Amino acid sequence: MQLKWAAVAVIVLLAIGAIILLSPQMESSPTTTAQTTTEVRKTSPPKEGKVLRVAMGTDIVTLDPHDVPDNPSIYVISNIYEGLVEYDDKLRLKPVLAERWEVSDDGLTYTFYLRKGVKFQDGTPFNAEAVKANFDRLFNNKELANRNRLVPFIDRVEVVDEYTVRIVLKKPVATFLNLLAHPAGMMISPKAIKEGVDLKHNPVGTGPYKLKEWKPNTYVELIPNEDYWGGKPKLAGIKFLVVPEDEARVQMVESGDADVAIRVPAIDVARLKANPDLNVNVTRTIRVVFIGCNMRSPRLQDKRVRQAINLAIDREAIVEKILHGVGRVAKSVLAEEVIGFYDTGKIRYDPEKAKQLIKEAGAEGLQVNLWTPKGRYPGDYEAAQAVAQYLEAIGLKVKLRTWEWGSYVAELLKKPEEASPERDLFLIGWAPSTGEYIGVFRPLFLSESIPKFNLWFYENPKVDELIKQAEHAPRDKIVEYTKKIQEILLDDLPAIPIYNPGDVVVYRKGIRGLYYIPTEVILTKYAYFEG
Amino acid sequence: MSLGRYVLRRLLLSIPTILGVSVIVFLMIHMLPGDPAQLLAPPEATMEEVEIIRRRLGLDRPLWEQYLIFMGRALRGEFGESLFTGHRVSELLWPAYLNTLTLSVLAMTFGIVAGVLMGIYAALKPNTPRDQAVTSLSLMGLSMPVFWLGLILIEVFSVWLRLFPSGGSGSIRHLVLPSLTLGLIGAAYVGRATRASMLEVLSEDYIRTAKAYGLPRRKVIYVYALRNALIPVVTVAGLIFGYMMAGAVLTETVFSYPGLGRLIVNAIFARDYPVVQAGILVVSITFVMINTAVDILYALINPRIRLE
Amino acid sequence: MESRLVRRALRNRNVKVGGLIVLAFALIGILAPFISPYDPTKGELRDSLLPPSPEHPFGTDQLGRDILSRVIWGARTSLIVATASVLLAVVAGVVVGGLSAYLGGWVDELITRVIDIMLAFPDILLALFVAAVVGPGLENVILAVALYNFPQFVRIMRGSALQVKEMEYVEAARAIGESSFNVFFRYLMPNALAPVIIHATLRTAASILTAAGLSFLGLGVQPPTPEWGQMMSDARTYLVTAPHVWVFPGVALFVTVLGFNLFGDGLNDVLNPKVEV
Repeated sequence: MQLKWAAVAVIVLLAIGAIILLSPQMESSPTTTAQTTTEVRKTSPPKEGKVLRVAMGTDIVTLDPHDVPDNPSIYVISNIYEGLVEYDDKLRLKPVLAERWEVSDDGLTYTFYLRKGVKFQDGTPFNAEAVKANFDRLFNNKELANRNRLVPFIDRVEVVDEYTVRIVLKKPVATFLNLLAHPAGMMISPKAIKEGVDLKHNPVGTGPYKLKEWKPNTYVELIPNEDYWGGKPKLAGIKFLVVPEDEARVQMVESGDADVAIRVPAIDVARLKANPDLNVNVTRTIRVVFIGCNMRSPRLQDKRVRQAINLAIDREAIVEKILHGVGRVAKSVLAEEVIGFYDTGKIRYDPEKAKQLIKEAGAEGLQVNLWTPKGRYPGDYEAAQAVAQYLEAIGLKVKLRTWEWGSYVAELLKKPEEASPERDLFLIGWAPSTGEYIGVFRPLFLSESIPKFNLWFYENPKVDELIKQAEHAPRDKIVEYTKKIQEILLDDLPAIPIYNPGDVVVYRKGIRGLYYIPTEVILTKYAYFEG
Repeated sequence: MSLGRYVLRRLLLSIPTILGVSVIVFLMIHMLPGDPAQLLAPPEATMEEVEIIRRRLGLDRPLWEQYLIFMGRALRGEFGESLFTGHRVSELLWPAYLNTLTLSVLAMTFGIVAGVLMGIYAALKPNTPRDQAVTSLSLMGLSMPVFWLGLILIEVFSVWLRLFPSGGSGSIRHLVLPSLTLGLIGAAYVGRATRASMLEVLSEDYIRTAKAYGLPRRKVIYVYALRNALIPVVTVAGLIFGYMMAGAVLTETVFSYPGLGRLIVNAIFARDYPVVQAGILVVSITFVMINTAVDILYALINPRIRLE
Repeated sequence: MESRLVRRALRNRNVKVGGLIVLAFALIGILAPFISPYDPTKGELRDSLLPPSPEHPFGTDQLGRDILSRVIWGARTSLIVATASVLLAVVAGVVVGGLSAYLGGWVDELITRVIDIMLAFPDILLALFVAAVVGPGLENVILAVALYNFPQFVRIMRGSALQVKEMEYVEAARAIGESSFNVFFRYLMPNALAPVIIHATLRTAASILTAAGLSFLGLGVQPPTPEWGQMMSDARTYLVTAPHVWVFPGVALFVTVLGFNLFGDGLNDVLNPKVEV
């Protein structure tokens, strides 16, 4: 193995590389390289404006807003569909298909005055009957994933006149409008619903863009809805490209093969910020990543053990070293932006106290299992490994197991009696897509929610009662109600909050009107190219 | 045995193998832990709803019936729907298959050209430094973890030199690094095989005779020796091509290239039964077919085989 | 005759160099608990991704663990996986292949068919599949890699045993009325083993690569157990910012596999000067 020959080999390789690079047909210009661009151009002449190319990590699952379970699908859906109200980037509500609304004094009746002159993409007019048809769909179709976000609270929906609709609740819900801002409240063409169109693949909404093609695992392409009520859309189209590898998405936005890259690794932030062609948007999310504690595990019965775990974890180090500063230390089971948040001050790093608690509980050398998904949340797998290290440091023995997401969810959702006896600690995230406390307390901590999202099998009658009271709290007194709940939860610790991941969106200079909503949704429908 | 009969026999022989493969693929899927009906159902689904899903997917029928349905559809190129996106599996499969095929063919072309050249170059002057250099390089190639080689090429060509993208697909530039990665390792195998067989042929009587008759050296080497030396290389190259179709899993993962290997791995993680079944079946059948084709090719260029 | 072979083997440069690497690998693997400077599974998160320094010659990884220690312990993991999986495959392959050759008839036909079908799953695909069925973890990787090696050993053993079967001393043993059991285990098996052993060294290299590949895909050994493939997989996020995290385990894996290949290659030359590669 002589060096000379190795050198020759390297030179040959370089030469081959150079030949490929320099041959004319493969030449690349800095702004548009990918073949995908030319493809788009064929269908939409360049003078109409430009196509926004968005690189995202996973393919979408469905285009049906009432059935959508994942964020990437919501990115796409929110260009095609609209609801009565929507969130802005500060989680404030703004009117969309409803021009304004009134709430009765008892908080039970919501009257919406609808926007006039709106048409669905199949030409059907949008009116009160259309709104009713959508709620009927939610009521009648038990298979829709998002049904329970609205249906349990609503008593009936009444058509008052062509452009006025009334929703009557069973009990007052302070954050009902927030619930409506979820894709569950988006409006589908009543004609499409009636005709039984396959809405998973053939969306018909009122939004500024409509579907051209969804090519599985490759891209979803949208084209302008020329009849949009808000005026002609500013882009010639939007193309969501499926690029699973983080590095590849970064590379694409750097080279101009994509205009926007979603979920960029935090470690690249510093480098990308130095690039004059790019905007780097580090955003907050309202997701809380927990270490869940199986309350039925014999190993976690002693509250002191759970409290020791809470004190053993250096969350700041996790945020700094694993999230690379993109994210925050979680202070409660609710993120700070979520309506109802209260800081109990119980989240801190005190390994000495933790060791003492372990000693008091007689749990030195206790072997616990720690489960984690990998790649579901930013830093999940690394954070779980770090947590394992911290727990070992206070005298526990940790057995780590990495799960594939699908089987992880299936296992976690099992009934307590069918659940694996190995379930002790498990990393799981939760983001209330409605941005308010009901979307956290009800699914996660109500004893009725076993065996659904109450993954820790937490049963506390006191908490159940407080949660039900809080759901009907007057809007200005919410924290008074939620404070007590958060204090109990952070003392019992069925779910130990660790961090709020941030999100990084990188886009090329010259793009305006791109919004990031803290419910982890990137809103592209207002985007345009400058100049 | 006539050539026609040999080809026919060889083709018929591949049928039980393909059937066997399909049975194993079908059964193995059912050994995976977890209940697909449960996995597919929404979290709040009741037992009855899970049962409806099970029936809809035919998961409640006896195994042999599920197998027959599976094979009947497979013969028409239909593999049902993906459990997670509801897309037809064939819609996912063929683009990925085409991508992997493109990658493998490019890599193989590079591997054969580079390997044969290296092999000849080494065999012409055996046991000289240049032979040792080639031999060492190809042994290094055999020992190289393909994903590590991929990472190195990314570091050099994408990060330092910024010549090629580190991942994705869509243009020819995206194909360069993955096919180079796979091709370099293919070249190592082909190079070794060429060298060995070239050395053997060069020591055969007829070559020595040809030389003794004073035929030009070039003609002897490139016409007589090479033609015979390439016969075993065909076998090796065919085998490697098959391995590449499967070995592309790692390369495709490193470069996030949307090929079949990646599709299968992701489907295994997601336990998307129909996709895993279809993917593995297609790769294995391709492999069997390549082997059959290689055998036939081998018989064509080397008539002695047919007589055995 | 055997000592002559050993002497000839020791004169072969490939055997020497490869043997040295293999020996070093084995020693590092066995002695890992004594020579590793730090605990490979414990780190200080605040010291993560440190570049190489006298304190940490290979730097630290994303969790602040010492990479040198993890590379050393990774040798142990690879050693265990490779040895166990090849041994398992050899034992099973020798028994099945030997029986197939010895019994002949429909048993032979059946075994040959099944092996043909197993060999129709190219390379890593079989291991991948097994790993997916039984799940990740050290034992399961061993099983997956063993199963992927198994059909090859059956085939080699069968071929070799068929040759031995026809040899005079085996026939003689049978003629003088030795029991089938004795003939099989005392004469047939030991004498058919030589090619199996050569192949085993070569397969060790491939097995180490396959096991690392499985771990790279996330289907192999689970953290915090140090494993080279998995270390590289975890380091992909730090491709640009901290290349030392993936370079060192890669070098270790490459050199080890190279060692086995050199050794097996040289051995092949010594024992079998004119065998196809």
